[in-house]
Amino acid sequence: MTARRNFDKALNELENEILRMGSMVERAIYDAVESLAKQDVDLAQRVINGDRDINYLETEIEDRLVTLIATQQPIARDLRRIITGIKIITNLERMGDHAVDIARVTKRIAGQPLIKPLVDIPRMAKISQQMVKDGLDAYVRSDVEKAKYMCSLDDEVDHLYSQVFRELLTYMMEDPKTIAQATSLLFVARFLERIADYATNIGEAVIYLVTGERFDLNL
Amino acid sequence: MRLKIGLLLLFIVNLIILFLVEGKLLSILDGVLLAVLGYIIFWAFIKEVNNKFKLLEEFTSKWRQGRYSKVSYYNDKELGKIVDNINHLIEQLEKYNRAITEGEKRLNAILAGIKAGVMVLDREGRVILVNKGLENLFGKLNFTGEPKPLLEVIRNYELEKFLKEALANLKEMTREIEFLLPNSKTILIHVTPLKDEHDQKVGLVAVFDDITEERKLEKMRSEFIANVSHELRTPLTSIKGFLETLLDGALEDKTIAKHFLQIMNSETERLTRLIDDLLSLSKIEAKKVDFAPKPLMLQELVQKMKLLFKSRLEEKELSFIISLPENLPLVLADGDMISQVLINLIDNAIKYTPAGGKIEVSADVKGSWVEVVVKDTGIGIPEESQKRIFERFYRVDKARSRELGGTGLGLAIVKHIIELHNGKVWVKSKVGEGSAFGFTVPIAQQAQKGE
Ligand SMILES: Nc1ncnc2c1ncn2[C@@H]1O[C@H](COP(=O)(O)OP(=O)(O)O)[C@@H](O)[C@H]1O
Ligand SMILES: [Mg+2]
Repeated sequence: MTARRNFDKALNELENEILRMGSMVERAIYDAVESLAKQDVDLAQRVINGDRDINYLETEIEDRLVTLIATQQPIARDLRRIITGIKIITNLERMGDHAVDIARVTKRIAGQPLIKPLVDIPRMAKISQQMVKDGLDAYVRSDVEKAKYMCSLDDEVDHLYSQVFRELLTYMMEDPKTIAQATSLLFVARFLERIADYATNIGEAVIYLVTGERFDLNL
Repeated sequence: MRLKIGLLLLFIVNLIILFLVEGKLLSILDGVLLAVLGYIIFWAFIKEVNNKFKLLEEFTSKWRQGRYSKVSYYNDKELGKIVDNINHLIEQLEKYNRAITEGEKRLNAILAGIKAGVMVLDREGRVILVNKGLENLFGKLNFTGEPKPLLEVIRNYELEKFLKEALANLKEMTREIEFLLPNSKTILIHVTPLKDEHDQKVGLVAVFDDITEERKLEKMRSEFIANVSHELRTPLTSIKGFLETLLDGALEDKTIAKHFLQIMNSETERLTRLIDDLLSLSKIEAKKVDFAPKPLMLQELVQKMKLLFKSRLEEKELSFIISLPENLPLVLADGDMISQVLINLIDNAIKYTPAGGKIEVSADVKGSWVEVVVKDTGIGIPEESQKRIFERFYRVDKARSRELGGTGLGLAIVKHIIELHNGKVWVKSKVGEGSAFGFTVPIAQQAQKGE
């Protein structure tokens, strides 16, 4: 009985840590996009520095989750909770890395006038951020419907990505001087698209947690 | 089985008692009779006690379901006392219960009445109470009344860190935290620790105030000051430059000197215009306090405009068309201010319309409003600029506006004046085709018309 209670307590604590990590990653993505839109190099640097905390938290949570498996040998839903936790932090950590990648672009193109006003990239950013939020909300609330809904948002991001891709390509073809910046912006779009994918992975993990079934949102 | 043992026991006990009392053994038959009698009495007694307990049990099980009805008086001495005690207990319970419900109701009413978001946390930092205001700030919260870790209710690690700090220090604290989605909000959070009578921590009350607007206004104000300084410095620097060149010897050359003085003159005019515009803006802001509109005839005002701009219109060969309906009702407005609006709009139309173009002023009744439109066939305004055009100092083409003597404040003044009249301003435009600026002012009531 007490062993059971200790296990529950440890797992609850870890799930709380996962949410904290989620919040940090949400912030990192937001700040990275903001730094790009406002050409704010200081903010970009803060995102880059902050990634250390996120990585540290990820290793710590993972170690503790693995220890739980080793020492308690959980089964069924308990095991699923742990596995879902590991999946979520892995995806969060990658998102954090992409936030850093975006912040690096901000630093790289600092001081240059933008070749075009950013329109679709902020739109992509907004949806990707919403998806990260939805994924974590679905996790907190065990909300399978919300998790499934993320699928349609992901389609939108993919669509915007190809739009940005085509547009930037025309810029580059028309004026080779824009190639350097256009490539950087293209990468940003790519990172955002990846972030949205990781968010759908979280959605899938939530569905697995609640129903015990695998569900592919990346159709 | 039990009956048999009971009878046997009674039988033996009876024998012993009788033996002790009478000093002799009774016949077996006597013993049996006595035993049966004893058993019947004993049985009745048990039954009686049993009934009483049953009654108590019935009531108490009702209480378990939360229905506190009093036990009706039972005609029995011992039980009567118990019943009295129980009834007293029930009264007491009901009193507490009422007090608690009342308190809870009052608390909920107070919490619901507070516009700010309120959150109460227990000593472990779990959320135990939220109010409507908090949901207005953050949207539907993942909270149903069961204590929950903060991050499950509001996922913000900075907030969590702050509340943890406050809980550890047991001090009142205030912090500004930015929340991200769906729209970024700046929120001022004030926490007060809850302590019991022994100064032990019980929890925390956090009050959330949305100060996004304030922060935005502050930012706008400081940007405005930066802009004003910049706008004032530009002509000043230019005047100073020419002055110095003149003093350095350019004064000797009459033609150059004259040219320089002309530039200085136009720069001085620009400075004057800028300061005039700034003064009008601040006057409008001040007027918000005692603004007194009067019934007004728009036809007269517009006719005056035609006279005012006559020479400039002729200079650029622009046709100026007035198409106001004859029976346009009086509007309730400040005449000087509406003149200023028309001057600014027509001035822009003239400035940004190439020679030979057309400017038209029209008006129409729209419900209880009159809508006035100034339309030109000028250069137009790109779509992305249209929503910013009414901001102070915003210009589509800075150099061009300056060259034409603009201050970038005209449309800001227009917007301020119309908003003071509770009206609306709008712009419709297409690059290369022209622009239309419209505004609404309220129609004067009949009674006021007669004055
Ligand atoms: N009728 C118009 N046609 C084209 N552009 C206009 C017109 N009216 C205003 N604008 C644009 O809006 C900007 C702001 O107008 P305004 O506040 O009056 O400042 P300005 O002093 O430059 O005229 C102008 O600089 C110009 O770019
Ligand atoms: Mg103007």
